[in-house]
Parts: sequence; C-alpha cells; structure tokens
Amino acid sequence: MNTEQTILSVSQLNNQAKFLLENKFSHVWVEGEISSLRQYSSGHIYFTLKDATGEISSVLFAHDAKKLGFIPENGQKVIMFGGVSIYSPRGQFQFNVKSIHISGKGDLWEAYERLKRKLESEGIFDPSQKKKIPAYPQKIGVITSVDGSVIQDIINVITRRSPHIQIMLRPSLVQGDSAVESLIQGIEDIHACSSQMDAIIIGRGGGSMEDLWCFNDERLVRVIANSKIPIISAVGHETDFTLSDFASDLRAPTPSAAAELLSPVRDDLYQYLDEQEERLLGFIQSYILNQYQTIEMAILSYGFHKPEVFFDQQKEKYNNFTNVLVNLAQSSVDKLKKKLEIEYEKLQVLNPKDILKRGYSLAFDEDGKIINTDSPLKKGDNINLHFSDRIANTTINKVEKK
Amino acid sequence: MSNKEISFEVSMLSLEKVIEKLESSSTSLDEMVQLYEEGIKLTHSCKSKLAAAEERITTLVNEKDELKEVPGI
Repeated sequence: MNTEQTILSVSQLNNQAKFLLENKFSHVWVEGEISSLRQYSSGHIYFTLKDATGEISSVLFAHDAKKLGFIPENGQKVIMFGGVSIYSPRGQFQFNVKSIHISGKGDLWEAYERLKRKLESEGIFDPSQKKKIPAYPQKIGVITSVDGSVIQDIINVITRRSPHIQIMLRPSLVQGDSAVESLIQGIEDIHACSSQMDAIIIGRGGGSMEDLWCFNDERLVRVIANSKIPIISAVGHETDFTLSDFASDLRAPTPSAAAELLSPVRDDLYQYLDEQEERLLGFIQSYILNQYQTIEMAILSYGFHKPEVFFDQQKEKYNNFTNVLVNLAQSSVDKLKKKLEIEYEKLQVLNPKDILKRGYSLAFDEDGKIINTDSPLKKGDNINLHFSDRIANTTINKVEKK
Repeated sequence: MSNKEISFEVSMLSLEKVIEKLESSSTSLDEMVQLYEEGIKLTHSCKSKLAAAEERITTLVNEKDELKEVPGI
C-alpha cells in the first residue's frame, strides 16, 4: 500500500462528497410527487419526492416552509427548487428544498420557461451583451421600495465602505400588479434624470416566487436588458432566479451584496493611490540610476577615443537632466528632490565649462545661445567662440554640408 | 487636461494605464517625466474626488412626469 495515499475519515469523505454535490447541484428544479411527509415541532418538514422509478429524501427547513404560504401534502405533484446535499452525520443524500410549487399551477411555470427560452433565443440574456459594472462608481441609483430594510441595508453598506459615493433612491413598488409599471418607470426616470448614475441597483427582499413574479414580466426584462446604465439585480434571496436577474448585467444574491459589489472600501483606495505615487517615483529613480551607469561606462570607454562625440552626448544628457530637475522641483516631491540634488552635484563633472578647461571651445550665437548641429547658420552670421580664458568674435564665411 | 468633468472611474483607469506604460516599455526621459507628472496629477485628483461629497443621499421624485431630486429618503 502506498503510504502517501491519504486515508479519509468517514466525516471527511462525507464532507468532501457534500462539497462536490453542493457545488454541482446548487440551483435545481425537480418535479415529482410528495410522499412520507412528516412535520416536526421545529417547523422543519421532511418527505420523500418520487417519480415512477426513483425517489429522493427531501427536507424543507422551517424558515423556508414559512415563506411557502401553504403546507405541502402527501400525494401532491410538485415542482421544487433547491439544491442537493449530504447530511453528514448519517451520510444521507438529500434535497434541501427552498421553494415548492404545486404542479397544478404549472401553467405559470410553463409560461416562465417558455418566455425564458424565447428571450434566450433572442440573445436578451447573452453574456456578451452585458455592460461592464464600474469598478469605481461615484453615483448609484437604487430602485426599490422606500419602506422596508432593502434601502436601509444598501445605504448602510455603501456609507460604511464608500462615504464618497452618492446614492439616489427612486422609490418603486416591488410587488403586485402595478409593480411592473412602477419598476419600468423607475428605470426610465433614472435614465432621464439630470444626475448621471454610474450604476443602478434594482432590489427587493425575499419572498415567495409568486411575490417576485413581477420580475418575470417580459416588458420589464426587456427594459432591463436595454438599459444604458449597468444594472445589478438584487431580487429576493440567493435561491430565487427571476428573468430580470438573467437580463441584468450582474445578479447579486442580496441587496447588501449588490451594494458591496459597487462600493470599494475608501481607505483601501487611499492606500492604493499612495502606493501608486510611490511606484511612479520609483520608476523615475531607477531610470536615473540606470542613466548614471550608462554615463560611467561611457567615461570608461568611448569618450577617450572620440572626445568630441562624447562631449555632445554628455551635453545633451546634462541638458536633459537639468530639465528633469526643474520639472521635479516644480512637482515639489521633496524625497526625490533630495536624491536628485546629490546626483546633480555628480553631474557637474560634465559641465561644459569644465570641458573648456580641457582646451575645447564652444560656439554661441549673437543671442548667447549655444550653437549645435540643429542651429541655423548662414553666411555673415556673427558668432562667438568661447574658450576657457577668452572669447573670439568671428563671422561665418561659408556654410557647407559635411 | 481639465479634471473637473472626468469621472473617478476614468481617472482610476487612466492611472492604471500610466503605470502600465511605465512598467512595460522603455520610454524616453521626456516621456517618462510626462507620464510621471500625469500619474501624480491623477492620484491627486482621485484623492480629492474621494474626499468630496460625503454621504449624499437623495430621492428621485416623479411628479406628473417632472423629475426632482430631493435630499434624504
């Protein structure tokens, strides 16, 4: 036996299998008939869902059972939404039910599926159509009910994390017959409003699928898909998927999660910006250090053989560095300035005046500007030749290409 | 470049681009200094945008098709 082989405990095996299953089957619709139903005083409901050839243990926990609005019965044909898991203490494979819909009411679901397929085939849910959610928004529009915890949750999260972000609420109905009209109007109003929003959150708290039904309305779904401003939907809880969720640019499991997605922590942003300033400084510093190495190498080699070329190059570098110093002095970055002052002193070695002392001369025009290869020269120009100890005024007789 | 109308998002993304440019290519000294200055300008304008507008919350009201933004909720 390979001693490297990991030996799992029973619990480890159960937990790993549970993890795999929960990942793979987290949002599943399943249809069947209820049997062996029992409800405990805790409010949890246990039953078996079966069809002609198979069955699966199912559990509906009390808080989800409360949201149903009815108590399921044996023999009922239902469509359930939920995820598969393993109850580790007993290694039991089971379906954790989030919501149950009686198949008799199946028309609603058929309509949902039909509409979903239709919109899908039109590309309404196409990922390539999704707008990018801004990483650093400044203004966020929120469409939700003015009552209730949703708007408070969103405000709390955003003001805590990003006090620089402005929030604009557009109150809307989020349930009932008029909700569709109200939500559509809300989206249109935010587009028409003079303050330009960087993103919109459409949110409402959890509820039964029937409560959320307005979010499956075809017109609303289309308006969301066509929005110019990126929309994050935060409708219901993690387990409910409406067609609005599919059409929006991003789906958040809860309104608070939507707010979090749009609100980078301000202190982190300050820190990031400080770091970027340090990096910018670092680029310049290392560039200058590099240049010095180049100069040192030039002094060691080339300059000795071709002094006039070397001089021109160094003069150019000297001028460039002087410019850098002037620029940086203006940008008042003290740290860099100090460093550069030291390096500036080193550069004095390359000062043209020192080179004059070595016996060369420099030519200046009548305005006192140094004459180099680019300077325009013509016959009759007066120029001054500067030596280390005297100046000769001369007139150009002829200018010809070399 | 007037920073007044440029959004925080655009400034942050421009800053990323400046850093990227400095990082990836060997630029000339002139270009480097120019990028440096642009980068510093961007970090400053980003910081001032973060400092501005503390906790402004408004409500958009539609009264007979007339849109009004009023403070608070």
